[in-house]
Amino acid sequence: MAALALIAITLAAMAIYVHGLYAYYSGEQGIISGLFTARTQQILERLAIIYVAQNSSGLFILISNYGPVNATIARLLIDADVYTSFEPRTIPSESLAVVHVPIVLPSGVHTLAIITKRGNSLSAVIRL
Amino acid sequence: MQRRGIANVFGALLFVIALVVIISTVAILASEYSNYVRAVDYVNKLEAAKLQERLLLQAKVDASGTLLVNISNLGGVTVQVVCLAVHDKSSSTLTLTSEDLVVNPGQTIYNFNTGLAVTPTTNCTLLFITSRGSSFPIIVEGGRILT
Repeated sequence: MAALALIAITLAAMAIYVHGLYAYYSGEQGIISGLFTARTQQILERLAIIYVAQNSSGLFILISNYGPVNATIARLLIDADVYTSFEPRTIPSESLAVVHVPIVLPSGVHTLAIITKRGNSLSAVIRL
Repeated sequence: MQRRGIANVFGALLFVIALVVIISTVAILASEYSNYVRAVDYVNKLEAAKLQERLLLQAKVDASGTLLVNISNLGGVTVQVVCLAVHDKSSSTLTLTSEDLVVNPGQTIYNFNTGLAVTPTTNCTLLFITSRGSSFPIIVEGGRILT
């Protein structure tokens, strides 16, 4: 019984180990390191909506990525509705980007929200 | 007797393998957790520094009609202005100009030339954007400067 338990423990541990090695050499995240790395990257992702302007061609959203990791904006919500035509946009770390959205909003107060690929979100209330 | 000896060797071998694998897995976990704690610490410091960024902008127009700004750092951290954004509301254009302006706590940079010509019809918003993602505005409405 003890021998069987030992064999089972060894096989399970080796499976995790081999998976980790395989993931490391194929440039991916293993289960063990992935548990923390994904959360660490999410925490390091820092974005700020600096300014929003609009003209006849649409909205221009000035976004600052002041964190140490690149951030990909996956979704855009305008007044709580998902803007379905939005193409994901990556903003390099420590840089500014102007995201152009070809939609013209009526004058007044609106809410913009962006959701990143890592699951962070930030919103801003704007007046046009 | 001989079979029992082989079983002992096999058992010992499995035990050593299990021990090595489990210890290395725990080591990886510890290393990743350490990275996580360092990341949280880094972000806390970054956000704290961002909250301490405070610039006082005093704008004036020189004889040639160009907007000049005195930039004073009233906060407790060094501020690096990385970009000057100008939203010209008359032409509906947003222009970004890269800057590399470092203002230490208590320091004032006098007569920073924005390159913006101010006339009685100028309607624009200038933003001094810092490396930590803060922005400090100057609004020009009908040639009048509002900071």
